[in-house]
Amino acid sequence: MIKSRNKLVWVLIAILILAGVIIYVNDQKQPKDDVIKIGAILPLTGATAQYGESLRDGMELAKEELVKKGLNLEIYYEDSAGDPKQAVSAYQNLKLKDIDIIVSALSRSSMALVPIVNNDKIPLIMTVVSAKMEKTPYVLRFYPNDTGYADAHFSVINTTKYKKISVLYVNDEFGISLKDAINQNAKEKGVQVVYEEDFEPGTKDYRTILLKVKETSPDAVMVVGASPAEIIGPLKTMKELEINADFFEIATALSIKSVRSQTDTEGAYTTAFPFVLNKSGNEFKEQYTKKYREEPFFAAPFGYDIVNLISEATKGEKVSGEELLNKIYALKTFNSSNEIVEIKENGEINPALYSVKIVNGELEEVKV
Amino acid sequence: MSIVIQLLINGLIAGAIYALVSSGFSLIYSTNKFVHFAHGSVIAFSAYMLYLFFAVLGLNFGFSMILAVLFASLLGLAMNFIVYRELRKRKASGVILLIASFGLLILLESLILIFFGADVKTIDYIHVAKGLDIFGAIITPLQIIIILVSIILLVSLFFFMKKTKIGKAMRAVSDNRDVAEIVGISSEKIYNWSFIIGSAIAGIAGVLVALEQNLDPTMGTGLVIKGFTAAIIGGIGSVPGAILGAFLLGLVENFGIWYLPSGYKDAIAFVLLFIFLLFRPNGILGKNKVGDKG
Amino acid sequence: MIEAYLIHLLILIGIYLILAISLQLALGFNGLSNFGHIAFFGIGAYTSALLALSGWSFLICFVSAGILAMIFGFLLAIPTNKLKGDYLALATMGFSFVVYAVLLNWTELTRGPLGIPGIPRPVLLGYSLSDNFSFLILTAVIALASYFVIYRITKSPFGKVIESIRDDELASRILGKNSFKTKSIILGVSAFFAGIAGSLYASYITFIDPSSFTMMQLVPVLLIVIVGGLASLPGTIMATFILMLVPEALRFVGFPSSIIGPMRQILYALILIIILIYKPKGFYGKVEMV
Repeated sequence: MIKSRNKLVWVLIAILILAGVIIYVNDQKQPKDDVIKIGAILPLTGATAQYGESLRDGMELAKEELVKKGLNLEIYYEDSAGDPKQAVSAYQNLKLKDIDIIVSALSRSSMALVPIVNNDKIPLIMTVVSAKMEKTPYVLRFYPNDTGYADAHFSVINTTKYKKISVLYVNDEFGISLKDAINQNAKEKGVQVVYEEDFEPGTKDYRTILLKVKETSPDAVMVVGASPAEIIGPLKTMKELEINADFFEIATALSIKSVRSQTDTEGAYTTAFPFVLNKSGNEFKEQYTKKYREEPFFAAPFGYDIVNLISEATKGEKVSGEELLNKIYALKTFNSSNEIVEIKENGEINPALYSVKIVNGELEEVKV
Repeated sequence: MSIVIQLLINGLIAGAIYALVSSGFSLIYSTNKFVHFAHGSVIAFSAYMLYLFFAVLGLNFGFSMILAVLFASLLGLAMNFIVYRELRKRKASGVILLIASFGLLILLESLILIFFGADVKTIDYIHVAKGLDIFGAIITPLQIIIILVSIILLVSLFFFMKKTKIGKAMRAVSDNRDVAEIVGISSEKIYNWSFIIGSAIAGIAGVLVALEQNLDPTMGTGLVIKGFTAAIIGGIGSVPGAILGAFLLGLVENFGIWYLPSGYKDAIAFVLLFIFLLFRPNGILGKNKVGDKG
Repeated sequence: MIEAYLIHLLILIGIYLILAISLQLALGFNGLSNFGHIAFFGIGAYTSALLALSGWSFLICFVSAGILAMIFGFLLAIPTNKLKGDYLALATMGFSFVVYAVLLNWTELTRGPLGIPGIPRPVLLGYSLSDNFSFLILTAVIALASYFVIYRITKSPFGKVIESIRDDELASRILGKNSFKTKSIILGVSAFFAGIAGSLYASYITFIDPSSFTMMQLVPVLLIVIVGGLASLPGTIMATFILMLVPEALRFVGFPSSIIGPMRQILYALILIIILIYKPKGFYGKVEMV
């Protein structure tokens, strides 16, 4: 009967696929060797792909340089697509490859990985702002945390000029935690937050939300956006609506030249990583521009630094688990692309950020 | 007072964009009797074609615009030809066509993602211009153009549907396909025309959105959802209804988020969609009976 | 090591299986174009997560997830009773959007985009299912039980009523069947199983946020139901395995990692369109979609 033949065909297909997966999985299992293996779970597609790709480019650059110096290591990239369950699938896949350490981006994906890596005793370095770290010995953060971002402007802000500010923030984990940090800082400095409101990621039309801001007559408008579009959009609309306030962005988007070129950014304030201001302790910027022929996006040096950090900690030897973790902590400090950073005992590695003003299309550091 | 005017203007700008989306969508729906979700990807495609011709290949702007709209129109036609016609031949129901159009939307968005990348792009043609002051509210020249273009287009569409042979034939097919066939109208030909015209309007929407806002691969999905929400509010199956619904939606959204946090903007639209579907599926101007397609 | 990867895949397959057969019940057997199915998944996940973090036992979280989702299923049936075909599809889509908007904006309850981290693994009879293998056993048991229940429903006399309503609601009503009651029950039952699938998902991944419950997340589930064949439960099982395993096999093909994501989407979309055109009954299905 046709029906049972169909059934048979289907069963055969299912067996074949299962067999295929098992063979593939066996294939993936690398023989244990002496090379340290890094697994990178990054958003390579989706709204935050630019970030993930930039991290990857930085990591590849570091690997190339290290290989030239005779230090071998391997990096395997997996796409999390910003989805927690894909991140977990990617992790499980990477474990087959005998990964020693994981690098992740995006709070959503990282949160799903945290309990698993602690259980499996595989160190995880996240380039994430918001996730708070408690009882997670195997998780480190190599990125500014939320207070770090807010401190950049507030440590040098002219509190007589800017008495009232309005805050707009993107409604995701990044925006919310930075908004809280801004509020905290503003309170300490005596700056009044007269208005704050969130907007959805990917918002295109900022007219009405900025109208509300306009009505509160702030001295400055501070925008927390996770992507360049979420900064350029409000800035452009602010100028259109003739809002008479200074524009501050807090997440370094405008420190990238290609982002600045998208609209008139004269007089705007942004934050910048040390490497953009050439305060770097190494040649990351030059090497990157040489290899990729474009300006590095702000995530790239983190990829670069993390790979170098791992290499410095292990001296190219294959180490894993608790031993690897201890070696990293033992470094205490690290000369990164963003100045020298401290490797704190709670797993925080926070580079500094500087407040800059855009003058004649270039970045000018704001001093107290 | 100037706030009210500004909100009004904001609502009209948003409404004009929605109207460009919903009118093409509604034209296709009323003629073909199914939800052409992939309409959103036609909008995105047009925007990216403009980007390709103007920003990447450096062609003249006006020429790039025309090419973009042309390509959009052809894409819509191709979708009808390659997919929808095949399904219609097999007597597919409206739900199947809807699901297929979903598939087309995903297919196209993924292709755009692969070829152009996921990052948001902008078209650097109109630099931030000084807005014009109207009774204390501000509007930029581009935004005025958007509103004007949509009005002109929609008026033309109205006359097209009422006066031209093809327009009348479309309405005939929309009302009753079988009777239309009896009087000699080729419904296949009309279906093709509905996609050509509807997608061309989508193309114009894509170009204007690209200029006024920016481009990203999923830009079409959000727009088509707003588009069909507007069409349902105004009366699905009625092109003037879709336009009315669009401007209403734009206004309600903008006035709404004056009072509510702007995070609720999309929620406002969804709740309106839900309410209308449940309590007044005919919309404000609609004439078709509810769900008589079965 | 292989085991860990396979176990993970099988758990996801189990969860998606429950989602798929519950959608199959509503769509394939009862003809309800419920495009809001993911909303029930999300409601179940959040209910389970919030209760678990308040200290309730897994059993309570699990059952509550199903029941709350079921209640929403019943509620949804009321206003959508008279809608058919694409109107029903749009209305249920709208429901899905509204639920998503609530998950995202009702931050006091759901923490909005921050999501809910640290959801505890189930503790059954004093034993914590913190290792994946035991979680797989749980998932498999629940999936099998769900399949069994739905199978019995479809094979019962009630099952005939369900399918008759799909085929010709008017005729069915003329013959005295209360189509509204039937459709409500089916929508409710379908929602119940989606809800418990959500509870399993939340307990497994231990972190949920609204992005996992957008309407687009329904696409793989819809694909499974269509490819497997409408009104065919065995077909659904086959399709779940194949459609979940094939993308993993895609990693093997060696596409650059940045296009695996969209490549997978393109594959899904093409399969969907091709099946709809050339094999609309799916591989096992007995009916066309109404």
